[in-house]
Amino acid sequence: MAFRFRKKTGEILFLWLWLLLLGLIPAHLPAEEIPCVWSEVSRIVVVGDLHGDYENFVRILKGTRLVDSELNWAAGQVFLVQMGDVLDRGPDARKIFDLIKKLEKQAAAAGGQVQMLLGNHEEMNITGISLDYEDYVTVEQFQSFLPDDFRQRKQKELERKSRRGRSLERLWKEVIQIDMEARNKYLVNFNQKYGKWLLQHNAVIKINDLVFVHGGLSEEFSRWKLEEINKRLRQELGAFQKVLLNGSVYNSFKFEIVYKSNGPLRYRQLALTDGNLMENQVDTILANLEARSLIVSHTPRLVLSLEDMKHFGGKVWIVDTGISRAYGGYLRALIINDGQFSLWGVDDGKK
Amino acid sequence: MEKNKSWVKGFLVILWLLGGPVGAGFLAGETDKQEREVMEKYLKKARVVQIIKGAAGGRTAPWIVKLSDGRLKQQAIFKFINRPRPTMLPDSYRYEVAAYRLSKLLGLGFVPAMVERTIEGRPGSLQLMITGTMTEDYRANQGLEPPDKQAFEQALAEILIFENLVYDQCLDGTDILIQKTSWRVWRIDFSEAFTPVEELLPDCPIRRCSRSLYDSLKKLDEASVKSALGSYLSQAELAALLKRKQLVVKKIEELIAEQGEEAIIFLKK
Repeated sequence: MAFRFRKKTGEILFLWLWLLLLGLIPAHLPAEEIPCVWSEVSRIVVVGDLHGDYENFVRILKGTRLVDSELNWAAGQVFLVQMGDVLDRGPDARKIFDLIKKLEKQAAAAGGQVQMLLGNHEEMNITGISLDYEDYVTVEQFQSFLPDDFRQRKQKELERKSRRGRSLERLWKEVIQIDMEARNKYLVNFNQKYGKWLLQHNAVIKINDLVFVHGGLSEEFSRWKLEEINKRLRQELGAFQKVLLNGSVYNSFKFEIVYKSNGPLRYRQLALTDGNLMENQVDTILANLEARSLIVSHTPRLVLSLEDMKHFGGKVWIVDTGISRAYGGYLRALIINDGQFSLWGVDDGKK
Repeated sequence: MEKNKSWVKGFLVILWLLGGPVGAGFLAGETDKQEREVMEKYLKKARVVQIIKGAAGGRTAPWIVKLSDGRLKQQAIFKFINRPRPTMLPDSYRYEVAAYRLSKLLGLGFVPAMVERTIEGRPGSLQLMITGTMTEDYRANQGLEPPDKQAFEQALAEILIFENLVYDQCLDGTDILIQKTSWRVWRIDFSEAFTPVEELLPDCPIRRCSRSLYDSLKKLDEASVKSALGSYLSQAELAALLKRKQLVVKKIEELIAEQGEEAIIFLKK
């Protein structure tokens, strides 16, 4: 009896140790080792919000000669910066993520970089609040991040219901809105398969004398170290993942970045405001960052020429051009060659 | 007679919507309550003519709803996100409604009229959209000075007290709207308010208060708060609100004791 007890205790102890180790050993790089500053980079290609439009992303990658016809990295030491908001509104975020995952490795091996920033829609899918908005998570995106077996089962169930005259699309939209089991499956699977990988990315990076961030940096955040902003965001998003994936009990956590309208993922003032006082603020922000320009996205604008991206005489560049067909499908990329800015674009007859 | 009455009500609404000097002055008086009731009725009953989704911006992605009752066409903001506490990122249209109801209890006129309404099957808050405005951020960035600085500062002082009461962001420049013609000041967006903490906002010190708001605060009791807001707030949120009310009153009393009533209490212009 005593022996059995000890054996059982040993097994439990082993199991606890194993679980503890699992919790301690990160799946990827430790946060402090994720780089966010580079220098002496000669060519940078900047691509704005993609919102699930895989085809237009591929057209930009090919058009800017970053990839070959097989979608393999073909640009050597070039840096590609994708400004975040790959998710929502369009169908194919998962395909974009898979392509970026592949290109990240290939570019790094060739001496280049693919840097995908975190946008507010990545935040909203990790935290799950994207599902609260009827037009954010599309049916295609929802299905693509569901576990295969669950998706197939749900599809069969909805096909049966659709025989009574309701469209399958409509039924799936209802599932996204009200089916708590399906929503939970989506969130858990998304966070397991992609959420942890997303947390290996940055919200803000610096290349040469340029700072890149999805929404913008307020004067307050410009006083933070870039590493601190990235680390803090990972901690905050990680808190959600712990609740979702480990069933951790949520203890009130004071969020400083997630869901904050003045946080780096959502701050719009640099794109929307002008005037002398704002320009003075921009000067202070750039001085704090020791940077020449800030490149932001998040706030879509019609870009017909390079001038349309420029704000405050080039101290701020706004690169959300509405690439996704959900926003009109304007194919643009900002090219920075040895510090000189130029615009790449395909018009497709759009004015 | 009935026809006459409805004409007067319509006139009041138009004055309010114009937000001009005449309208603002009119509202500041005893008829404030009546005008709000007219507007609430309009928001409840007016026909939805058009819904514009995704254009309003902001984290709650509200809809712009075009309304008409056959005579008056107006736009309103419809918020439907409903994540009340306890949740990791609380944000709910129900806090909007609670803040509006509280502002009515206190006789404050800076929260635009609002009702609860279901649109396209979604319950939400429908709030009159005030047009012809600039944000306080814009005003500050452009360096625009209000024509009546004292009235403007008085309006901000009342807003600051209300923000302490509902525990929402302190004088956020994007949530304060200023009517370009009349310089009437509005405060919007309370969907994250009513955090259940029994203290005042950090870094948001109360300095002055209007006589009318001070009197209303002193009269505000648990029963009236629970009756007006009980179905929108949890027990903890209600208890914290009542505690903050006590703290606000106590703070004003302390300021009066230190600096004298004349320095702290003002009669609204």
